[in-house]
Amino acid sequence: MTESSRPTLASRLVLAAILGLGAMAVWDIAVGLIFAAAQPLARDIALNSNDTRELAGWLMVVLFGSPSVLAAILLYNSAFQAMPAPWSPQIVVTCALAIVAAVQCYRLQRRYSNDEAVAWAMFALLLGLPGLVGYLLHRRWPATEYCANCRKNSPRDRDACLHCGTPFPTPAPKGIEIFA
Amino acid sequence: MLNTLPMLKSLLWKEFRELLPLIIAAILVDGLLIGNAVFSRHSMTAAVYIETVWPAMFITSLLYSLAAGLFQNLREEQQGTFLFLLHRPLARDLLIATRLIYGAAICALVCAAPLLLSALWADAHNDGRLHWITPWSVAYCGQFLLIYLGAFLSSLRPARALGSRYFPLLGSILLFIFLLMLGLSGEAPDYRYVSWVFALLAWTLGPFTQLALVLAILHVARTRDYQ
Repeated sequence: MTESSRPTLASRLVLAAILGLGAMAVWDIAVGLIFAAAQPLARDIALNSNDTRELAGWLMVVLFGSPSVLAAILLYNSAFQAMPAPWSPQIVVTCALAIVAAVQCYRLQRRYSNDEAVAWAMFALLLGLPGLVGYLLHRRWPATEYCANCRKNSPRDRDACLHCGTPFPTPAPKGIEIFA
Repeated sequence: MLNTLPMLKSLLWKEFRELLPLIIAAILVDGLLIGNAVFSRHSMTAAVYIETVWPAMFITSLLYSLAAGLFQNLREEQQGTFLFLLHRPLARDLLIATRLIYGAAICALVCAAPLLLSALWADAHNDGRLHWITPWSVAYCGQFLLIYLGAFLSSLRPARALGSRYFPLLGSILLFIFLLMLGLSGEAPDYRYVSWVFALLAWTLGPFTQLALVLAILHVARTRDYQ
């Protein structure tokens, strides 16, 4: 692939974001179905308004798991209703999940490429768990192999080790190769 | 540039022929619904009666956008003609962009235009009262391409994991719902200032999101394996 035709980071970020949102939609449908199925079982449980509000908050975390989506919803709601507590446990849990997703994104990107790790970590930090799913789905993941020189795991879609630049050994000839 | 024009014309003619059944179906359904509303001898006035058929038109329009986006690429894939199409001496970006612009224009013509025109007609023939369908139509016009672009991206992108092929479509439907609701919040009577800020935000974010989806489509078109 030439330098000019190499996909830009922006287009890959957009693709990963839309894939993450799609994964979130599937997850939301699944959770919605589970709730619909569980509704008859929960009919006899009496809840006061505080419990209901607490449950609704946790449901938001389960449904979206993304700081930016949660912020957009809270911003939208706060414009029309009372502002919720800014450091509620639900928001803390969502941010903690986003940090885990960002760390995982950073580690994976470092394992498969030398650049853009920070950009992808920021992406996962903003989108949270859906961002991590989008990142995992947006590209191919080549097989990895331990480098004989530096003993680090390196993707095998190139001729040399990603970390130390040592060329990978050529495969042993089988006697059926054709040399032009 | 001069050499590419006949090829682009041929490409547009091919796309037109392939989408023709969908175009005819959309025109028939819209014509039937609008004609029924306008010419019926219903006890209500026609302008009010159009409110009752408008949701059906809205859903039909969404389904059409979805079908058009999926149909354009799945047909090529099913018939195995993607490589034949891409081996034409046209830049891949230009080829995909031409197909996208054509599909978007058809969606605008048979999806958004009938909804908007029927809403404007109903307002013009009403007793000074604003129909609820007018803000819906205006908000829809800012976002209707999201569904089409999501469907196009889904059909173009091969799946990386089980069931993930239609994730872009589902994601764009989620964005469409969010931006449509944001655009409609301009109608909240008690929060006029805040709600108009949201409506303006929807009109800004809508085209930006659509442009971002076009970027993603061009990226997938450039990098996917068509074998």
